[in-house]
Amino acid sequence: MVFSSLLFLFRFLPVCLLAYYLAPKRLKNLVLMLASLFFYAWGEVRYLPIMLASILVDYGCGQGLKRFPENKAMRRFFLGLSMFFNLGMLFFFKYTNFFLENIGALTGLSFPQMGLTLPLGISFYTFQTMSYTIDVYLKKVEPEDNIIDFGAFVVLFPQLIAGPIVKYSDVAKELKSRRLTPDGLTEGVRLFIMGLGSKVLIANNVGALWTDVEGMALSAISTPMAWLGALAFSLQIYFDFSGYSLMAIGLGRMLGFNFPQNFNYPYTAVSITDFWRRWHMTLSSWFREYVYIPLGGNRAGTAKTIRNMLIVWAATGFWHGASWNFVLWGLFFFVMLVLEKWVLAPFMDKHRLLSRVWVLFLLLLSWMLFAITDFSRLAEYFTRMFVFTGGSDWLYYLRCYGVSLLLGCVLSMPVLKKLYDKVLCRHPAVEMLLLAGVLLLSTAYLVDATYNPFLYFRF
Amino acid sequence: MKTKKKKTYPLLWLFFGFLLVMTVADLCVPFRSFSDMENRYLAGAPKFSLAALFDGSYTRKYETYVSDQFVGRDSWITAKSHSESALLKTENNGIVYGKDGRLFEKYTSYDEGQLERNLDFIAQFANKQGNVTFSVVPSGYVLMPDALPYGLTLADQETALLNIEKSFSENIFNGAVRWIDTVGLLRASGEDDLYYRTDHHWRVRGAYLFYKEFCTEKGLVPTPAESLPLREVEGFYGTYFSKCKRAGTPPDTLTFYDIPVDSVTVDGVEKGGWYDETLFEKRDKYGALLYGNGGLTVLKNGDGPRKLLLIKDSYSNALAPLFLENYDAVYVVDLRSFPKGLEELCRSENFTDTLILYSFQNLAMDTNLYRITL
Repeated sequence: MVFSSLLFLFRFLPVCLLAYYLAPKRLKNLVLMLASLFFYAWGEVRYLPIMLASILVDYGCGQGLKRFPENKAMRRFFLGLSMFFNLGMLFFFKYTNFFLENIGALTGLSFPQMGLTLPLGISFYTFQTMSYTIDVYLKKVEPEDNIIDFGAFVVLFPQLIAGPIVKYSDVAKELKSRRLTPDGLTEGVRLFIMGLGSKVLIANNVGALWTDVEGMALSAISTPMAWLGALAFSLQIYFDFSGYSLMAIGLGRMLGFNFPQNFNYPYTAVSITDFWRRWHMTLSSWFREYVYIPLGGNRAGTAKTIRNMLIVWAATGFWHGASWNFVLWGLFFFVMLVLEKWVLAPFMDKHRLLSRVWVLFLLLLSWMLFAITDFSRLAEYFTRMFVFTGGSDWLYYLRCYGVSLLLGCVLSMPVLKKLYDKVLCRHPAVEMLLLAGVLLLSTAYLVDATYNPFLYFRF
Repeated sequence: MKTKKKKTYPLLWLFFGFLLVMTVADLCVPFRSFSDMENRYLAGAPKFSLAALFDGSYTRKYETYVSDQFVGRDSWITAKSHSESALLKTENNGIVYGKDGRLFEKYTSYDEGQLERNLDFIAQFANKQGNVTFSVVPSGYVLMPDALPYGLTLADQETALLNIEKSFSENIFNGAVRWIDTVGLLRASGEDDLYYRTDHHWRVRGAYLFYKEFCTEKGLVPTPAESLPLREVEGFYGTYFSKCKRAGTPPDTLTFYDIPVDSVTVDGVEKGGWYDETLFEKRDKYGALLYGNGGLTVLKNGDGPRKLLLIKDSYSNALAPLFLENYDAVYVVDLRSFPKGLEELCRSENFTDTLILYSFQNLAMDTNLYRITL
């Protein structure tokens, strides 16, 4: 089930919230866990045992670590078990076919493809549960004794499928006691509606342009068309993903949780480093905290810093999908970050405007690496972008999608948000009207679309 | 610290109220089995079974059921169309807004493999049958490229059709197929209103031009258009319109020649005439002609020996009766609803002539043409 569906909005959510609000305090986590398990099972009932196993294994490892506060060998064993289980599952479901294919290509042997579908949200919840075991191992958090509270954390439906990646330490306190206030709920509703609008009204709208471009014979498109396509995809993925995160954060608020922010106007970044502090913030902070810093971070000399960056960015790329283009996408950022850190930094600090343009230029390219999985098509697309080909095809699409693109560009910048905070907060009636409009229009678009896949759904 | 003024939370009332009211309304709204606008049966509640749950079909069907039966479905869809127009979009749901209120499908590519296979089936059939005339009706935009919005290029049907013509004239079909160049024919007429504005079909005028050409090709004398009884049905909104629901679209007028026919059977069932008068009251007016797309429709005037076999899609639904001006019977086969092969029919009826007429889009898409070879 995705948030932007009629089923979620007009079946699951009302029933779930009603049960949750009516339940006595001590039963709220149970209600939440059961509702979340239903939410998860709806999409993929066959993988429900995996989810349950995931809860049990990490709960067990936490308890094991509690049992042996000083025994180093046992502590390592439980940490290792959790890592093996989580990463093992992730690798098995996400990367088996990829490795078989590549080993096959290298050795000339042919392996049968395994008919594996990726369990929903596995890339996200394995990272979340690993954060728990690692933090317990490092004694940063207390192990959780109540399996229902722990289960509710693992399967919590708002962030289950597409983030933000909520670390156990982020919500440990709130799992035990949280307050539902009308102000919190209001903020939750506001964020949810804005997230819904981002996804349904903007991402899907500009996404249609990218779908068009993708479907064209690349040999026939003009250079402006290729850039228009890249712009459309960049806006689509931003509003799609950040919209989903906003909905998740909003739902969290409605349930009394404060999830970490996941996006902070990434397209206004002044450097690539800055971009990754603003884009999918919970993922980059996860990698920083659990990979980069344990490896030594930037404190062990230039050579090791570069090595650590290489590892993190190859892993980040690979996390996004089992395909070489995602690895290439990660490595692209590695190269750009190294270049920035050791070569461009002094220049970029002095020329803010130029740096912004440069960053946007790089991002447009990077999204094409991300979007086009086939290397020969990718090469052709870049050729279209950089070897000028004329044509009038882009005129139609600019005319048709111009307003949507403009809207997307403006909303990617904090300008409107500032205006919103300044003006609308003082005029609640206007804000109500705006949010009501977004809600109604989103419903209209959802009814209109029978098919509504999330870009980040199969990650 | 207590505030004196009691705080109200209008946003909470709005959001939760909306969810609740919509949910309850949705649960109370009566079941609708057919959507006139969408021209299809709407999904009902799926049957629950463990097998269906585990292969994922239950939840998938349930979601379709919820969205198909959603309260006020048609109005929401209309609202979305208006919103797209407000964003200055020149298309909605795959329909492009052309000049002079003309609607077109955004048909940018087609399955070349399927087209190839279908041509091959036709060639096989023609070699067996002999004396086959074959033609393809292009989509409206092929004849009116200027009516498309500036800069938009759609699939090049004309080149594809030229290639088809070439392969037929290169004699690989041993002269068993006669090709009629419908694009050239329609273009040569110089008329610019041969297609409906809100529907994908050609108007009866286009069909008549084809009929005339076919007669000339066969050495028959076509009945002049002026002496045919033209009938018009006002208020026709076609398929393009029901897809995009563009606000302010004026309706078309459905036109056809009301040719008298002695006997009509559709898949063995006798009918009172060759069109369904009751459908003229509904949205899908074109569907009245030949009662839609039955498998085998037989139109007869008397019991004479001159019989035409017409293998077709819906573009021929206004055309088929015209041939009764020159034949005693027309056997109309729509392979999409004709699961049997043609062999038995051809043997028992001994057709004078055979015409295969498809629209380009159907020819490139249809997966039932293999039945022609059975």
